[in-house]
Amino acid sequence: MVPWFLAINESDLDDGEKKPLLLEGTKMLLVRQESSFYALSNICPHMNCPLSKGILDEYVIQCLCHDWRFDIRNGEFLDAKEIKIDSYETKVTDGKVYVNIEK
Amino acid sequence: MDAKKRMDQFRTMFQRIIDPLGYKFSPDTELVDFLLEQEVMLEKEKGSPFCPCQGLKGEREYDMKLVCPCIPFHRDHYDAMKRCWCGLYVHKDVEDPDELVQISKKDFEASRNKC
Amino acid sequence: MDTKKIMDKSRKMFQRVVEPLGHNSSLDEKTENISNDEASGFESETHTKKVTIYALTTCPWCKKARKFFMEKNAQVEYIEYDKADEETRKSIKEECSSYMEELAFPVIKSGGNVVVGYDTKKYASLLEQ
Repeated sequence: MVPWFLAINESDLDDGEKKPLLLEGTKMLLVRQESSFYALSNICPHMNCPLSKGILDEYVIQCLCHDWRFDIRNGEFLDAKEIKIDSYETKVTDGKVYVNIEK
Repeated sequence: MDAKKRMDQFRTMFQRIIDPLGYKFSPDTELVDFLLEQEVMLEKEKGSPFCPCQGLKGEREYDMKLVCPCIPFHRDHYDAMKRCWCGLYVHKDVEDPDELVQISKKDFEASRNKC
Repeated sequence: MDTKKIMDKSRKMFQRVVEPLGHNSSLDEKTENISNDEASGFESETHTKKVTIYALTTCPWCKKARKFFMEKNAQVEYIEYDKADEETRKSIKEECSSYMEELAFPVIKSGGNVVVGYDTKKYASLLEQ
């Protein structure tokens, strides 16, 4: 099975924007920053809040529930790097954004 | 949702967080049940399961660092005690939680500066 | 909850604590001050230490601290930060800021000494001072 799945059109998301997605049954958060796309689990590992409702500041997403902050580039929780949200590879081909759903 | 069910959800969610940090729920199950019950009440009253043993200041930035499990925000201090402030969590190697004492942050910092 | 109700609740609570210790709380219905009420159970004790405990209703270590000092026949004034009125909370917050940045409970004060946290060894030396 090819793990790459079409997520959105490149033009659907501007820099600094984020979007929740359901891809193959996985709740994901897609973020575009500095022209790159980042895909992460949309569920905060603390208490399952959707990160898509959080605040994006450069490469940091802050959960709206309890202000836990994660690096969108690798999913690391800023206050304890042992805690990570799943992050997924992305690629852009012909104006379309694909996500590799294998962690 | 009834309190018991929410307590079980806390157990599952918080286990995920504390495990990679080297902590486990205290073997003192009576204490764990009591504290989780308090957290369910605190969540109902104040919106989040805050630490039952630390006071809130009404400043979001401060208070949010007291939402359970608050280990990531007080790690050096808790690591020195081998437990979190309220004793809900202990280091994985702790078998008898009664041997551990609460060391105030001030005393902890003073002892750290001596080293 | 009005003051009367809080007082009644406190009486019941204190009674629960002192009874197993073989004391009668002998709370005076007319007395307005809860902390004095509590202390009146130990009138026969001479040279009892006065101890103030700042606590939270949700904190088991605060309850253990109170039990420790009551068993040592100290006069315990037990103030719950989370249920106190705004003014009391503010004054506790301000006072505690001189001992610590955080608001960790229990806080035990006796004479000019302060212990933050549950530590029976430190409590014993507080009583000796």
